[in-house]
Amino acid sequence: MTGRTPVADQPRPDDSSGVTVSGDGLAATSDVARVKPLPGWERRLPAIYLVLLAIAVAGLLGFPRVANAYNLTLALTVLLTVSLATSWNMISGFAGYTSFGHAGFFGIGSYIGALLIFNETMPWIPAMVTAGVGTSLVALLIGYPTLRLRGPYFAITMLGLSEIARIVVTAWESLTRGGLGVYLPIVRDTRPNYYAMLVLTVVAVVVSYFIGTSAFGLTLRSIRDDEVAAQAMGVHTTRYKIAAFTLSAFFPGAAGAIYARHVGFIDPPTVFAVIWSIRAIATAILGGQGTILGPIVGAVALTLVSEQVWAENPFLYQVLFGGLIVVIVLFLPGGMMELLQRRGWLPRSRRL
Amino acid sequence: MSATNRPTFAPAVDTANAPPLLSVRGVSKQFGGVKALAGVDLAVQAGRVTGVIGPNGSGKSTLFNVITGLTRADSGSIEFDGTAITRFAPDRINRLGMARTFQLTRLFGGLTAAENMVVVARGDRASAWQRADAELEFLSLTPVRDEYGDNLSYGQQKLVEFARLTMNDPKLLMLDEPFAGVNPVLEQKLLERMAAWVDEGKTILLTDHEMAIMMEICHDIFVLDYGEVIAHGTPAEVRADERVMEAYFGR
Repeated sequence: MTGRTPVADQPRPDDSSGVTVSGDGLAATSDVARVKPLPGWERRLPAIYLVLLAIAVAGLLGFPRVANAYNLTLALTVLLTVSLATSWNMISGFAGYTSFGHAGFFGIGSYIGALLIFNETMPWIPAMVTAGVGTSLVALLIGYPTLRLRGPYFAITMLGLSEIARIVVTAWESLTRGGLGVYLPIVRDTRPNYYAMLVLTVVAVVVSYFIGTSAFGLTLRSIRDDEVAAQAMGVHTTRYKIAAFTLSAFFPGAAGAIYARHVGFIDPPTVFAVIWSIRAIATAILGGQGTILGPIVGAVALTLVSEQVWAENPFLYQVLFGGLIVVIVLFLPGGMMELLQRRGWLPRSRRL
Repeated sequence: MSATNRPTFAPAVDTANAPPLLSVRGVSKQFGGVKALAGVDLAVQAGRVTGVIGPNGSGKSTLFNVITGLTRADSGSIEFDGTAITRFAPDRINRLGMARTFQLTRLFGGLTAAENMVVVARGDRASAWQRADAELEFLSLTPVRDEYGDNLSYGQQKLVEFARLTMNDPKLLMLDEPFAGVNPVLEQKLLERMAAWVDEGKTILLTDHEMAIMMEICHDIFVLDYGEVIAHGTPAEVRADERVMEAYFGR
């Protein structure tokens, strides 16, 4: 090939001498070097998801009719875990900023919700939404300085901030009643809490779907892969990170408020416990971080298993979470989603 | 590959006497006890190919990082296209019309070749996909359009990084050692792409150790040594400079 290469819209009869896919040292290392049009099933994926979501929601809406109190609480816990893991995945899975601070968001949301109900400021449903929004505002404030830190520095800082939040809530007795905790009116009917958690979870999953399949999500993934390159190519990385972080904080905040109403009593050690962060991380990593379905798969699997272990030995389940993170990160970084895809049980697509 | 096969690099317009597109004035940068840049002055004329050469550790990469905002200069000023960009963030500098490649390619490994390009594109999404496809076609990369960055060969990664550069139609293209570790076929491909850019009126600032190529394609050359510009001029002028020979061959 001599002289200028023809421009793209012209026919290129002499293309054979240019860079071809094999033979001249430029071959792809994988064997999939061909044009892949979006397969039919993938084009229909939004419809498939919609049907699956409708079935899941219908089943979950009808569940309280058949379930006893124990199973309903267990289902509530699964939904709570899906919310936590899905929201954690927004900032940590898609954007790669591993947060150990979701316990802090959960605690802050619990307290906002509980105090709004306790002081009879507003009915409980607006209180849940306010708790989510309030927690997002906290994330917006701390996101600007903390999201400049990368890797372990961000993770450790979030862990520290979560602890600081617990200490502030404990010390600020005039507002939070400090270590005494907050008692809420006893609610005998679990179903409203369950439905509230269901709505929150559906919203979290839908938001996660839009992040996973949108330009916004693609940008978050570019930040995860190489933030310096993204920034050098003009991506306003700070803005995207803060948006994902703020969005991510809404769900643990609102979930914390629903949890507070459900259990009827909260105090700083319970709602700010690091185990809430660990739970979100272990779940999302087990299922597959950076995927839409991973946190859901992980939540169902982990909650059901840990419930059995919990019944046998309350301490062992914390060990289980910690150990699980180590094992998965070492041997299966893509989680169950990757395992299913490797086995060929799920197609390889990033839209899952 | 003989030099006669190489595309020609004639500036589309003569801008030698116009105000420079990029001017670096007295830029210094120190890392601990190491003076990476010691008062560098450099001017890049629009529409031309400007080369920065110098031995390893002479400050070329630091200079690139300082210009693109990845590293903050200790002192000195940088002006690009009439705007003082000395303290600007990298993304803001890019949005003014400056794009760069890296010495070691930096693709988004979890994104496909086409996504690598579209993700940095500004403005209309549909047109971004079209531009990405056209550029991939131009570089004969259509077969790996939907392959993840991590799965591409080194050469393909290099080409995709080149393709990503022009998504937002920048005025100045900064190429950090584009020919390092590149085979003759790919080298030809890169040179053709660069020649087409110059044809379109784009400006190129590059650094490389391939002296034969640099002397052939650059219109202006700056020679760095220990963080200082020890010579600049046309390739012929630089080649004749005593200090350059000394810096390179220790004569």
